[in-house]
Amino acid sequence: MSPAEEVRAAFAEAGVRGWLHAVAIGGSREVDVDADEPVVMASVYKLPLLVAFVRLVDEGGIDPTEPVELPVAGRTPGPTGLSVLRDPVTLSWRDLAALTITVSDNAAADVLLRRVGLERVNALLAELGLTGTRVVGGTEDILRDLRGQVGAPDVRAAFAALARDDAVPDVAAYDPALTSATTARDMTALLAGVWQDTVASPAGCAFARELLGAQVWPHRLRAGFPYREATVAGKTGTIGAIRNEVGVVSFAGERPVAVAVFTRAARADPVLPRADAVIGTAARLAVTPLRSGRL
Amino acid sequence: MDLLRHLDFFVAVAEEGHFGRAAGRLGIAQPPLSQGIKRLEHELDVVLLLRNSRGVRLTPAGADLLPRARGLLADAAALRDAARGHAGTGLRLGVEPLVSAATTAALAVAAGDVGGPVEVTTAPTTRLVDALADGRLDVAVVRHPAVLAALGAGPVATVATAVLVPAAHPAAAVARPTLRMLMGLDVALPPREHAPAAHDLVVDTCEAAGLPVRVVQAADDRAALTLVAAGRAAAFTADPTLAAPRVVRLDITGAPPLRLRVAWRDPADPRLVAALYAALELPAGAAS
Repeated sequence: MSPAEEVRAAFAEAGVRGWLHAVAIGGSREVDVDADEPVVMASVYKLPLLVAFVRLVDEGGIDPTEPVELPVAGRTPGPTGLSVLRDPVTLSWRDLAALTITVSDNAAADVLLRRVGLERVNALLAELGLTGTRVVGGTEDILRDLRGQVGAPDVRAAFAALARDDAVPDVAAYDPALTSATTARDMTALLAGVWQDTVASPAGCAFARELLGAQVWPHRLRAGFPYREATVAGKTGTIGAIRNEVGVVSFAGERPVAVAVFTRAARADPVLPRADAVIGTAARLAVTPLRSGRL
Repeated sequence: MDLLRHLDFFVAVAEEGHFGRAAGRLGIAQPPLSQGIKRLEHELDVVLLLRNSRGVRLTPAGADLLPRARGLLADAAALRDAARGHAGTGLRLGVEPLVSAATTAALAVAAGDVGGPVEVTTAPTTRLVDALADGRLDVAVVRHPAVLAALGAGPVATVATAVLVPAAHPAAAVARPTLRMLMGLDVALPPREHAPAAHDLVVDTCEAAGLPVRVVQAADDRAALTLVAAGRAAAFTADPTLAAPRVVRLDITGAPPLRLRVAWRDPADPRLVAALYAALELPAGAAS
């Protein structure tokens, strides 16, 4: 079987539909599993937001160390970061970016998105030629639409409605045409730009790489590379049955490999370890044949 | 690209004026529908539809091409009907083996009443899905949840199951048995690769109720019944008539039901789909 066929078999075995693109950074060999089909980003949108932020810093449009006061009211719900804090906080723009990427903090990301601006994020994507990618809003917008579409009074009830296995939900959050969407190929191209210092200044790209490398979740891409010799930097995205991660896998002395994995599980259940793990498995099946060996 | 299928998407969206309603009519989810429209627009190199928050309207090009799309679809339907007459083969219906024999027969009868001669294939869900995608089947009753990719499918029909246990097992003598009381027995289930996601859901349902699942493979009710009669396993069946000596049927609250959907590739006749769902809801074994 070719690597792409192996990846497809792994997705099927895990009970998910999957899309993948992997490419050696600075190389041309790739593994393509429906890599140009539109897919739902979920929190992967925070990666283009990060790049737009460091670009704005480069241009002098924002002071990354400026203190930002954040009251409790109006914080976007979420499982981590500011979303779970009960008191007002003050922190800098770059620390908001750190929370946005390292723990996928929905509240921090929405504050940062309002400051950077949706237009700037989409203008950057257009400038980089990532025509398959479009950010339509932050997490707050997606959650508001979701509540309306499933007729739920709050976010918890909306996710409970999505998690039923006796129905098939049809919501905009699952439709790439109606929510923030990208392609697996667009995301590996953006990551390659961050690793090659071409999408922002070298200092800005180094900052972005550092945050992506500090991401805390080990259950997706990282789980596919359980080796001391490997470092994995990435950004996850999750909403209902959608589980994604895009990142860069590096082995000491080798050319890094960018890989983007997007999935939608057949099961609606909110906890599916197999669906998380296949993201790492699929990435390893694709990345291993693309590794350069010691340079 | 399957042009006819994509034209069918276009006509549905144009006629409904709304992606959600068109997806409902086609029996597919919205994502494959909107991706299909994009692919068609890319293939034809013309914008057919304008989307806004209220709905969808046709571009001048879309309005010009709509009658031609309808004409092609009508011709294709006529061609299929004519070919069916020549081939002598009728509707190709697939049914998952966990569906009871009586219900499978009822499905064949229902399909025949709508669509003429029927050829029934019994095969595991993953194979039915592949056969639908390859055009080797017209319509199939598959287990849910399953990865259907671009196939269309109807709602989830939930069929209650009974638990079969060896007559000598203590759970057989209890007034209100629970799943946890089956501890110590193996659980007879079809191989996981027959329907991976549905299999995992059954196992997780048992484990969540406190029953650790050791699977012993049984591809269908016949194999499962044999294992239970031999005292080796417990099994779940959607067949209300399935019985054997030394086997006791228990109704256990929380036992994993059999979840089914009617799935298709090419737009299915809504009357056929409705007839199949009606057959699934008949109490199997009921003479009708």
